[in-house]
Amino acid sequence: MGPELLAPAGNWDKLHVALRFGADAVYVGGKVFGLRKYAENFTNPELEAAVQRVHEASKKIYVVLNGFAHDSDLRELIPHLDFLNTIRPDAVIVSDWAVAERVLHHTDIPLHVSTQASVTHWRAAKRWVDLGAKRVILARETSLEDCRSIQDHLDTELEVFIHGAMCASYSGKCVISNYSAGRDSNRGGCVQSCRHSYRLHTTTQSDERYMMNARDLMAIDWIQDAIESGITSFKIEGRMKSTHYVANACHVYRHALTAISELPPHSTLSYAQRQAYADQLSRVSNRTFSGGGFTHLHNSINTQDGGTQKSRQLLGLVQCQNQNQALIETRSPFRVGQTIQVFTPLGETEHTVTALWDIHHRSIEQANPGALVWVSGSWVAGDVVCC
Amino acid sequence: MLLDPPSPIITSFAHSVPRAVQLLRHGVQRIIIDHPSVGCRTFERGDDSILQRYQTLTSLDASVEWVANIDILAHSSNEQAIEEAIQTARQVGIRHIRVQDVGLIDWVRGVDPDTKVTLAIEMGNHSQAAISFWATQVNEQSVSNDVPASVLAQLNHKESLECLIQGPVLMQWSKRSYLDGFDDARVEGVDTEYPGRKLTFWQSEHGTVMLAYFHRCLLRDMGVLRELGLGSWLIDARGQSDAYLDQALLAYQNPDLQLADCRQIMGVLQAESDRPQLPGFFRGNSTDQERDGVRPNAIVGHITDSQSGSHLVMRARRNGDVSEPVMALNPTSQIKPITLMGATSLLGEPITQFKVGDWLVLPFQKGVVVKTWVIDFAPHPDAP
Repeated sequence: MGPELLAPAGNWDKLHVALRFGADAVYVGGKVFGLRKYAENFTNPELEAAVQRVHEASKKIYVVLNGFAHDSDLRELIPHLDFLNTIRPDAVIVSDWAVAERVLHHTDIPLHVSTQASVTHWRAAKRWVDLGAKRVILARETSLEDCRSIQDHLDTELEVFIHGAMCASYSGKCVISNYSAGRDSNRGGCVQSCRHSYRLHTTTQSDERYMMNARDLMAIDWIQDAIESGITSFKIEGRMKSTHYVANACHVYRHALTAISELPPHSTLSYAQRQAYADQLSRVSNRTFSGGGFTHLHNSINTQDGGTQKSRQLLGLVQCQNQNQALIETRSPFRVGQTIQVFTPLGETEHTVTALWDIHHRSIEQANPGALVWVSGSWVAGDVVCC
Repeated sequence: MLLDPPSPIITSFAHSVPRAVQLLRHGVQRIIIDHPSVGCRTFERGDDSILQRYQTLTSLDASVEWVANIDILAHSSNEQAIEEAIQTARQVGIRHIRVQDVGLIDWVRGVDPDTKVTLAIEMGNHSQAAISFWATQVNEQSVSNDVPASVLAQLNHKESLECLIQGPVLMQWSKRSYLDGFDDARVEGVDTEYPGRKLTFWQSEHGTVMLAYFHRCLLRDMGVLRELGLGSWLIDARGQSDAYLDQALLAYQNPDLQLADCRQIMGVLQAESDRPQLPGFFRGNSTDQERDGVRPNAIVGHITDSQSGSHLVMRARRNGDVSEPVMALNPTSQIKPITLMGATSLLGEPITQFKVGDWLVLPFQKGVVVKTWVIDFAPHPDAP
């Protein structure tokens, strides 16, 4: 069995998309103590339904509890753990030892250690494993050499990030938002001040640059080495990213992992194949890419630009299908006559919008953002519409 | 009769003989030796080895408690330096090591089980439970700067806790190099979106640290600080002038310090550091306020489509019945009662009950726009 492809599911739609586009597992946040306060996150009834939905698909779901807890957080944690123990996710992800102790004491749900715990070395990993952790999610600064060393010393599951946005800082070691914006970075309030431009000076030099704007991680060039280093799970970052991002990243890495598994012994993916994967990953909004910690962080900051780039724009997500019409929840406007791309697990196909109807099947000329519209087409729920 | 809390140990950093001598002259009882090979924010480098530095400084006075600072995170690339520092500390008789990486606790104890370990973890010891846990694992802890006095007052193990009372505040540590192209390792900067706040960046072989626009200064809070009864007060003057350190040590070690004296002393500290002197989160921490104020258990659904005069569409976030009384909380925080009665499916079929993920087409109701929350009047009976 190959390594696990683990995808972010910031809401119900993203969960569905992740499973549809090839994820083996998803990670989700509840309304209690996840680290993405500005993500939609799952209500308890949604969490319960999500666990059921994922297990029906014979896949896995992990619940994130990876903030650093203050006393007030711990008070609401125990009832939440009791709830999780009844719905049975496949693991919970934690950073804080006090949270970990409570998970181990109040539940029998496996414990995964979050990247927020900044584990970079086998000795730190061992401390968590000795406490009872089943899996350690390594810091994004961890090199392949570090991974191999950890695997050499410990017989435990290791997870690494392979794609998505990166903190400039060691994750869990940053409190910029706490002091600059009054939001706790480590309890889901990060306002990403590291993406700002900074004016710098010494007595002899000055400059203005996006000094901390970390490029996104893309590990296509290193994933085969990571597999050979014994990594158990490959994680895609981005519970707050779009459905298009989730679909695209899952699609590419699913194909890459399958292609690698089918390679003859001692051979590698061709440059052309890796470039094709990279090109497809680059279509969706990104801050340009680097290999992150896999490459000792060389060239990992995009100092010139604080924005994002993309060649595809998300128009909407297909929510259901009825008599050769697809209902699309829209994100961006499009109109009759426009050419659109529909992205399915089989790939991308091009279509021209011949007619649009509102929810009551009244003909309209344009679909506005934040609406539900019917479009002629036999696409199914979870297909992604873009242009 | 109430006893006065025990006097805290004054703790500070030294990287050189002159700085150590200055600390000794002020009667500092615990001195942390910083060396750039194993310290993540050792501003002053020097070209002496770990052995030379540890030997030279500890030979100045055998009666104080010397501490080796090994607060980098371990990677396979710096294992050798960490091992050298731990072994050297033992060799020269340092029996107290300060670490940030939890993996170093057993590493240190494996070399000398009797060596005291202080955990300066930066994050992860904010709660009474976490601090109690760590109290079973290490001898002492440097408590996070995020923890306010009101919480510190309730903690157990106070005698084993250290609190930063004076000095720069670490906002971030990255393994990345931010300052390529600059000749100096230390650079001043401002976030263009928060102009006027002067930050400090410092780059070494361990990456880049970022220090806050102010110094943590608890001079005005000395009364509260004394009452807390913490074991150690940390004065961190790394990168600061001798005059700054003199002033801080005189002030914090003066049992008769009056509030009226503080303004003048803080003026000196501010002038020497070019940074405001503020208490940080010592007096309070409200960085975790809920953004929308909605109780998680109250969420029934959210509006995904709103066409004036025509319809609304709600996506259900829990199971329910359309007869339930609900309210709409729109993105501008206005609340108004709405109804789910008359709901249909996307295909026009009437709905009386719904489940998570269902779409409900509702009659249009004024003031309800896309991204409006639909919430309970009261917590749902099934909610945990």
